[in-house]
Amino acid sequence: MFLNFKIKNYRSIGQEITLSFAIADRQKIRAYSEVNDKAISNIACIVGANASGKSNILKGFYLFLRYMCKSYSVPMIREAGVSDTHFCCKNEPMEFSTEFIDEGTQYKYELSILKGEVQKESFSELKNDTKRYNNIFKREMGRIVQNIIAVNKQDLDRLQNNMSLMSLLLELNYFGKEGLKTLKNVVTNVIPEFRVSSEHPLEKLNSLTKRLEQDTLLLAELTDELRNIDTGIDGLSFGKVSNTAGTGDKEYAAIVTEHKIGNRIHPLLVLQESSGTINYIQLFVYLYDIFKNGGLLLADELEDSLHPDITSRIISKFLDGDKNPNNAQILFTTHNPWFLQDLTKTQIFIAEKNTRKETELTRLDDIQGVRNDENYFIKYLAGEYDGRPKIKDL
Amino acid sequence: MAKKKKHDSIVVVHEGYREGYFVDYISQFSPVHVNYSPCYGISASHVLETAFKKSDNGLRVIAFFDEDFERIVQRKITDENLAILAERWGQPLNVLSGTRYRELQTCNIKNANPILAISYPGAIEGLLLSIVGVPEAQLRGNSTATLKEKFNRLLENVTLTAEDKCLIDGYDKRISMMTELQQREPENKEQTRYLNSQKQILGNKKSAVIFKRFLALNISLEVLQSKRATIKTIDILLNALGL
Repeated sequence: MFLNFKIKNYRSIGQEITLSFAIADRQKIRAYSEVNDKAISNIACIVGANASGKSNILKGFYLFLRYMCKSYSVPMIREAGVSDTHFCCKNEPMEFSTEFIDEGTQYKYELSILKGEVQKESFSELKNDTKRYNNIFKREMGRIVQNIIAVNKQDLDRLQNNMSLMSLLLELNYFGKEGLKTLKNVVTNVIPEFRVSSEHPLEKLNSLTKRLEQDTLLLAELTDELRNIDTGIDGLSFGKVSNTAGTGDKEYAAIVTEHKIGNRIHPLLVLQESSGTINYIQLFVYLYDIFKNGGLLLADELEDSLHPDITSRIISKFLDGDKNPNNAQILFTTHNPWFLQDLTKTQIFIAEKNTRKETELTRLDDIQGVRNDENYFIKYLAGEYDGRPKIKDL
Repeated sequence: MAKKKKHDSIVVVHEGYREGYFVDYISQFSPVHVNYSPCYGISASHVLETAFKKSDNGLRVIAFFDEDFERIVQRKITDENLAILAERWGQPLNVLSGTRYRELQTCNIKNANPILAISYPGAIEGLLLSIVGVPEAQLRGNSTATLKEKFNRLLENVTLTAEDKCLIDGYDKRISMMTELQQREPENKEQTRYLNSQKQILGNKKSAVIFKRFLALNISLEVLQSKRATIKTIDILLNALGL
């Protein structure tokens, strides 16, 4: 489980912001997991005005996690977004860090990148006896200054300044094939900019359909869920759709939804379903993976085209230990404060810009005077916590 | 780093633009976060019903409207809403029934939700004229139209700042652009309707600039404080805003 993320100097984020899942003893109310005697929240919800930097926070975490885990094996990641510094700090590095617990051990990973090159990188392990972090490796200005994990020279020769050592070590299984799963089990609906233009809806549908064709349990669960939430869908099957636009015909695998009226089944191509149904199918696959394997879901605008009852249902699954046995976590942004009334102070974060146009992030329990029993939905909308657009015209 | 502090908040359900601008002006002195819920010129009951709904959300609410609503049957507080008000204030209905609105606002002795604030004499213009020192005897019995006329004469003498003039010039330029577009395409009826409404809005914005400058030049917090003993509405508003 992730304990926290920190980001500095990425897009609208100038000064360091911290998003912490950790809960103090006095704040233990509900919806947290106990790992290593630590209470860790399963939910973090970010609210704030448009352009307050909510999505940048998610994009920053995702960039960080991808760079940490994949910059060795996926060259595109080395360029994408790694120079997106704040207006005021173009010549300063972007800095990221996280603390997480994996298989009973607490780790800390820190990374700083300047103009696409790693300036500093370190990975350390918390020692239970001393309660201090001991480095597993440390890298500064392209040089390995601590190599406790004993990476051999031949492997180190593959490392370039524009990739993380961690991604190399994960690729070469230095932590074992199953090691550091917490870092690997991250799914998101955030689409990195370099992929936006290549995200053809039919390609997306094709890969989703193939996933469902291969995973019969997922297909059964999804079918059951779609029946459950009143989409009018009684079953799912598979078909083909061809794209005649552009150069030449191309066929894509496609989900077909089945609507039963009396004894007759009426098939419908999934693209003809409502946008809420289409979004939910995509989201359900993420949720299935997260609940099955544990991990983190980063969801930008979780409620996108969904009825509040459906979104509340998703949130409540993370709050329910029986439905969330692997301590899955969700970090989501929303423009629907309705959900705030389902959450505790430690699960709500307010994003807003300060006078220097930097994103600031405040957890609700860090705002003085906020009570445990107040209706956060009403109070947020009343402006008591800030984080609402300052509209000038009455 | 010092911990952020939660704000107190209040919702002002108000009848007209000027009530909204007036409270917005006072709110600059206040530690309370003010939210606005306009109910433009419908009826006292509509303002009250909105205030009841907002109160039910657990928020503190002021219902702010003109005294002259009591003169028009369709705009009065209905018997049903007066009964609800009596219940919420914990007052016998017979105390509230038949009470003039300017006195009605003082019946809320427990300061219960919603708080009532009444612009008198007559309307917000009468209230503002009283605040700037026009004796009530000169205003009493005036029609709302007369009060507005008197007040608008004061607005004619407001000295605008360079920033105000710049804003008004900007609105005028946009109005001219819209007029030109209408002249170029007179047959486009939908566009004409839309542009006319936009021009009306820009005209209101120009008036708002002058109105707000009037408030800034004539109604300081000290002036408001000095009037709270004699004008009950000011006392109610300042109390609600923590001043």
